Amino acid sequence: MNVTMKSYHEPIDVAVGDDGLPRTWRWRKSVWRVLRILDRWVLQSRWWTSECAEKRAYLLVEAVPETRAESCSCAVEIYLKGDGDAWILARILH
Amino acid sequence: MPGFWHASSTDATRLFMFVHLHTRSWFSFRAGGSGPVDLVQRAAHLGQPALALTDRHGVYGTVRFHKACRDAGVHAVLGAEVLVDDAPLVLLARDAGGYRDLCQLLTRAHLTAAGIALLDDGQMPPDTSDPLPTDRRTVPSVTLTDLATLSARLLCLTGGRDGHLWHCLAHRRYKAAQHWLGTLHDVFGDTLYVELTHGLLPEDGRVALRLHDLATAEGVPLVVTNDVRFATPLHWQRYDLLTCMRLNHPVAEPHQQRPRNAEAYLKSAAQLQRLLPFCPDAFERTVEVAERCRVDLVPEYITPPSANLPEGISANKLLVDLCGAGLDRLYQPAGQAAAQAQLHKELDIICGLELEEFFLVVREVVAEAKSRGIRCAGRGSAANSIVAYLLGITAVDPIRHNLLFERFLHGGRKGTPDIDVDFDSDRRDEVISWMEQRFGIEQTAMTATLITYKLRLALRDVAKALGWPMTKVDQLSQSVPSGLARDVAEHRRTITKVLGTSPLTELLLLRVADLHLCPRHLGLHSGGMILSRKALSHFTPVQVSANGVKVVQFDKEDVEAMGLVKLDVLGLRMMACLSEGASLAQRHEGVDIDFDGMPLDDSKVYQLICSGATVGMFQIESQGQMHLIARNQPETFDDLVAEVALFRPGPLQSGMVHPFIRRRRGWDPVVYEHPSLEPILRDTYGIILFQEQILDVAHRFAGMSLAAADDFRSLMSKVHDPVRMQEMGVLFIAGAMERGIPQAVAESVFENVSHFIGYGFCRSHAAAFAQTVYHSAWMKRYHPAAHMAAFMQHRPGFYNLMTLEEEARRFGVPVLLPHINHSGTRYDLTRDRAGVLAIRKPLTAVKGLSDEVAEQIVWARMAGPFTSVENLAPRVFLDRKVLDALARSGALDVVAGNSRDALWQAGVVANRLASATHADTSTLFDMPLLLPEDLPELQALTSAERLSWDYKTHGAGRTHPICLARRQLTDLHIQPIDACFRFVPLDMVQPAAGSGTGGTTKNKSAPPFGADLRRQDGATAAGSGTGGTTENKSAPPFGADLRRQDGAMITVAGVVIMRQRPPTAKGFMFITLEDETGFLQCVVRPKLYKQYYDTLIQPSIIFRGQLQATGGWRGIIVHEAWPLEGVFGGYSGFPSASGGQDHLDDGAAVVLTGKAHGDSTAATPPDPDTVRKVG
Repeated sequence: MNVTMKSYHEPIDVAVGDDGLPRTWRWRKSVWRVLRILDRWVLQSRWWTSECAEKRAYLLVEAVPETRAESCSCAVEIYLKGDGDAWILARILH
Repeated sequence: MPGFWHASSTDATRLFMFVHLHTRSWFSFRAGGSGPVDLVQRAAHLGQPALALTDRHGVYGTVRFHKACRDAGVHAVLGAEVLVDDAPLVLLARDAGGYRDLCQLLTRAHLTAAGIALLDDGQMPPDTSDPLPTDRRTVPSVTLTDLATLSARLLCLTGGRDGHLWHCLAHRRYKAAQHWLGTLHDVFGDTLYVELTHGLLPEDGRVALRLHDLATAEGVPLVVTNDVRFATPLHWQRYDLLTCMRLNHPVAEPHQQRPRNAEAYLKSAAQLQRLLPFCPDAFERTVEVAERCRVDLVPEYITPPSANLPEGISANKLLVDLCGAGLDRLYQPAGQAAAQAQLHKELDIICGLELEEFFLVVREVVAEAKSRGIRCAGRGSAANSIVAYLLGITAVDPIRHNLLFERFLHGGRKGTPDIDVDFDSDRRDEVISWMEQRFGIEQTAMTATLITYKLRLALRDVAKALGWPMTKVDQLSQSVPSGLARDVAEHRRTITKVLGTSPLTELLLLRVADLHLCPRHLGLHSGGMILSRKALSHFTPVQVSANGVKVVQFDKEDVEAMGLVKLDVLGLRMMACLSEGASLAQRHEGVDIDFDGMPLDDSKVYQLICSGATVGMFQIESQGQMHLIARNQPETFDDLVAEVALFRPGPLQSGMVHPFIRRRRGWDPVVYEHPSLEPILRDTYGIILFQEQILDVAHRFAGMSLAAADDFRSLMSKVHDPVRMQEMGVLFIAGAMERGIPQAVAESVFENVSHFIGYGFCRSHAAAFAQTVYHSAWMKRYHPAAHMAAFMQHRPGFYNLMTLEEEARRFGVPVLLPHINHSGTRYDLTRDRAGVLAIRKPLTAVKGLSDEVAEQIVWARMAGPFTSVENLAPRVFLDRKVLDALARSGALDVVAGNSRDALWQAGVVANRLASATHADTSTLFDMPLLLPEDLPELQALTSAERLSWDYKTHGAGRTHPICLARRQLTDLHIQPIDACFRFVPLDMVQPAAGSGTGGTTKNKSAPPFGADLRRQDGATAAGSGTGGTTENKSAPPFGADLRRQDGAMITVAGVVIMRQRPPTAKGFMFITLEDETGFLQCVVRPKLYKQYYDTLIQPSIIFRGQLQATGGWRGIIVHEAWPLEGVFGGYSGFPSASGGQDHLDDGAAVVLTGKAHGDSTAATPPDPDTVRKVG
């Protein structure tokens, strides 16, 4: 099975549920729906630089654009920057 | 942040009871980020009923962890991370047997890493003295076979994210994972658990699921852990930094061993449950596992080693018999009654505490040493005991010196008795070897010492990790004095000067302060030797230090807490000095010296002490002691005991010294606040001087029990805790009032007692030390050559070699250079051309010349003296550097004419030899190594070069460096230091005011005109022609008033030989300045310390100040300071307790720039206003 991956690192507008987990997001004029959470992790680095200290809380989700069927879903890597500043779409794996 | 990332750590629902079973503390030595106390407090805060401590390769933090758990009401589970076939496993001890097996496994791991093979039966080999160097050791590890033999009482967890199981499943190597799990199951059976963890790293979720599935398929139960590395997320940065420092890796670069997030902290069950929702039973099982582990580490009793008892004789009987024999030997019949009474009292207590064997064992050790001719003496509070005295352990008569046994031992005292024995430092290893053989290799080892981060080391390691270049790192660590890491902000200005102002510098300050108390590595305690009845593996793993010494994993406090008996086997260099001095006196002067039988009342010895010429005397050679002696003027042994005890933080900080001296000298009346204090304080003139007196006051005046009084004494000796002090005060005053003492009096006495803050000596310890003081003073008085030679050999003091040589010369003892045909391997005596007994410096005094090479030279010389450099080189193989050093030192002057010629010839000969070797011509013995054309006419050494070469090669010059500058200094009206001694204090001319009752004890009339006040004892200093000056080199100026009182202003210059700023001195700094006429203490007030800081760290200084005179002592209170250029031989650096001798200026820069004084090439005379550094 061939898996292709494309990097984007673009901001997305996420709507979260009561548990804080993303339900949908808007990206490039499309709305994506999260089907399930596949994995989660946190990366932190550069604590020694006050300007560039970074924390990213990643989610690997199975998601699909609202206009497509669930069978067309793909794995998408999104992350929350810092202490909840912004959501970023990192990569899409087809 | 959304809730799923950071579930509240105080989640009210408390979904599960849970215990962290895999936790590292900072006792994993830079592989864990929090102390045991922080971890335990975090667990308690989370409501977790237990906590396991599982540090890497050891149980170093176990005792502190155990205590913290007890204090917090948390059940302690003891274990460790152990490498098994290079795969980490977590092993937990089920019971005492399991703990012992764990210790044995860890011992095996450490010895294997050090390249030491255990015996076939797994026992310790008798000789561990040749381990692998630490940089070649492997990581401590055991094999599965080792583990299988010791697994019965251990529980095993599969090791978290670093474990082999996790690693296999992360790479989908299912068969390998299954195999490993099966292998472990074969060893551990139902005591094996698969460790399920989720560190919020990529793939962790998937691997956790694979682990769950594998464990379920194989029927191995699961437990959840978080593979904890630190207590809270706040400690993550410290943990990452420590990791980088351990790996010697900059923080700015990634490394696979570094943590990629801050999630490895002590989380709550709820936080972990959100990550691992599929196995609730794995949480509950952690509590079951914890409950299966019960190890009680700290017993209520001590376990002394076994004494050597004759057949059919009990320890008690043997002790009583030996004491009886001692009583007859040491006391006259008339004086035995008091001794008998004391003996009975002590034996009752010793037997009640079941310590008979302990005393017999110590006696055995001391007796063995003495039978081998090894000088030794017990000290510490043990010297309070008549039993110790009668057994020959101590040499201080407790009846004669009114010593208090209860300070050493009483029925209520907990823990092991404290006995220290000083041995001749040269032969201490012999004693330790014997003890290992006698008590068993498995039963003996040294205690460890915990090396924690202090200021300089923390700055060094952190700056390096933050990316500063090594040149800056070196500069930084040398720019600050030693101190605590948490006080780094006090040096902000200096640090910023070195590194510049930047956010990174601020980060450095923050991180350095954060390392306060953090352990860096384990070191070796200098003397604490554990003697155990059982094999030490019952209590602790044993490692091997870099030089092959067996060492346990605990420091002395932890060792005592475990009920182990420790005997301090200390090497005292003064003991070695006295032994060697006696041997030299016997060989060269034909006298036999018996220190043990020596009376302690020779007035000439006390006169020498009172003159202040105390360099070379035990404990009293510091400037502070010289000043104290000048005021106190000890005349008897009891005075000497008080002298030794006065100069301690306790009496100093409590302000007891001044009133003691005034009362003793008869200048103030002796008064007691209450009559009941008189018997306790009579012999110290109503002043509290000794620890025993505090105990006695608390017991007899305030009515405390002995146990409470001992606690009270201990509290006074340690850090001042205001809350506890108040509690004690209430108890003290109430107890005194119950005995009918008025409240005001009780309060006043408590006030006095409470000022005795900080450590003070116990009387027995002071008495034991005073004996050695007396012996060293006696040797200097009657055998100065032997004593100073032995002193230079062993260097038990803190003055440098130049000062010692000058002191020897002041006492009429010439010091002769190293000589290729006359020097041996040790300092020795010889007669000089005038027939005077002189010290001959050994070959080993030459830098780089080892004992082995010196022995080779001496052996080769037996075939005939060396006649030239050419003759020397083929007969003894000498490294080029060593040959050069010999030449520069002057040792070859006798065969080469002078040092420069010797150096030239050494170079030619060395090159020729090297060529001959390479050419393989075997003409080594045929070919001349030196030809006439090889020997040009070379310029003579300048004075500065001569002096610099001397300093560089054998640590001291033939003349004092200041001699080179004396002419210029005189032109500037800068006086020699001995000018200070020509001033006489008024109290030497007339009695001091208010001295109606007795007046001064000495010097009731002014000395003769022009007398050198340092020679008041009448001891000779004849023939002091070899450098230095003592006696009246010039008469004082015509018309000088020798009775001018102190307070006159004077300007002196010299090299700095010592710099101190004791914590008890309230910011004052003391610099000892030396010139060719002597040395002087210069006192710098705190304000001037800040103003002249950059000058005060220079190696040579000019001071202008106000003269202070007390008896034979002189000092100045500094008013102004300037650096002295063009002179070397002093020490630059920072003040410290050891004397602040950071860096010796050996003249390299001076010689290079030709800026020395006294040379034809010298530059302009010194300008006191110039601030430029030399070198």
